[in-house]
Amino acid sequence: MQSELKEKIEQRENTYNRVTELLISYLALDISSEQLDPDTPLFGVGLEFDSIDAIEIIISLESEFEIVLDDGESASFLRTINSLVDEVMRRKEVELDERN
Amino acid sequence: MKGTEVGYNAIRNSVAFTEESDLCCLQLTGKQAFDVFDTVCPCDVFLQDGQMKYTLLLNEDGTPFADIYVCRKGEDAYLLGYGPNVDTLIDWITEHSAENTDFSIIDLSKTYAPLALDGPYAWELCAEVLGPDILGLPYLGMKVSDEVLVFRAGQTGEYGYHLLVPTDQKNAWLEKLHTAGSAFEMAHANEAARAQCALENFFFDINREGQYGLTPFELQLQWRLSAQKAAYPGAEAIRTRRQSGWTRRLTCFSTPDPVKVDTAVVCDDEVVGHILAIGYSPVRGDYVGKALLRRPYWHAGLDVFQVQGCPLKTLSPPAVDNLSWNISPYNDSFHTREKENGS
Repeated sequence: MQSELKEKIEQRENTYNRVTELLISYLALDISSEQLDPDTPLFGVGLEFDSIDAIEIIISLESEFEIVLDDGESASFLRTINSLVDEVMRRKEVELDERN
Repeated sequence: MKGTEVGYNAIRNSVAFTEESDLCCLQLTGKQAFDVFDTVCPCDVFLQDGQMKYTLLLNEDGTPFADIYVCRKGEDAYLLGYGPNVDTLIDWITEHSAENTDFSIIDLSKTYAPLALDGPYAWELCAEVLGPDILGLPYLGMKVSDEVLVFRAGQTGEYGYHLLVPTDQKNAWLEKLHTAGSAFEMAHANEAARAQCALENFFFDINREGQYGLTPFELQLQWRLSAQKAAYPGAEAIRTRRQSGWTRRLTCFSTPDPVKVDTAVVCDDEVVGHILAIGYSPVRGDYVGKALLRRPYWHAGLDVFQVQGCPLKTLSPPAVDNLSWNISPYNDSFHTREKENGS
């Protein structure tokens, strides 16, 4: 595997693992990270989160990754664990670009 | 094909109507009706009145036998399911519920016709034909309205309702829906249109990826199981797989060109998986699907793959922005949508 791809996968896995652990600890879920699939729905079905959980998730992600998520844009990133990971990685990239 | 596109567009933009010939509808009666659910389902079946739950029925090898909703309405238990035909489903439940004796299974398809409404404004049409109370029905909720059993659930990513109408009133209800539906630009959606919407939203399709002998782990359906429940059909296989782990996972992808199902997915000249499902997405203008990829290539957000020489990238579903996500029955209306959208 090319080193660039390996690095990309590691970055994704690292962010995914941090987001998953955060969801489990902040929301006191009685499951292990292996029991969560990346495309599990967060609301309605799947993990069956509610609007209070949504606020908890946003606050915890902002704190963990030092990013701003709740800026009035669409909250569609709250649909699955993978969509949370996408958004965290996107925001980190934007911040990095702005700094440079 | 054009009919499919018309139905698809109605699901994504207004409301579409379907006669669901593939939906099995059962009612379980008797003191042990809910014990039967508990015996055969791999999830915890605690249901409040009017609540539905999404789960599976599993074969002994842990692969899905049926894709089901279970539901409680008062003392009545309902099961809506896709996969086997209704007789096979009844036989399977009976065979796996031998310890429960005080229950009966009623095949509702003999007395009810299953219809479905899907689309960002399905709620508004439902309210028009069934009354405004329907607006208060939560997702995965069920109620009886005017002799119609209404289940709020769908597999398109948009607002969805399964309506079981009494068979002897079916034509009258069809007439009512068509009359009211014309104001909503309602169109008929065939199975292909609904399947494409399900694919874009990564809903499980038992007749598609469910035919590859995969377990809920590879299918990303662990949320349909209870991590704690010990006894149900397939439990031993699930326990074994959970302990041994799994090395492949179903992953959503997009590609600009049509490719065939079962084609190999390649990365750096190495086969890393196969296409299990693919379909053209009119909203996106490319093809989306599900590929079974092996670790560590199974992540979303990678644009390093080829299939039949075409580029393929993995993505986080849903592959489309569902209009329903931004539409509220309390603030929006089909009739004022253009004004609200500023167009």
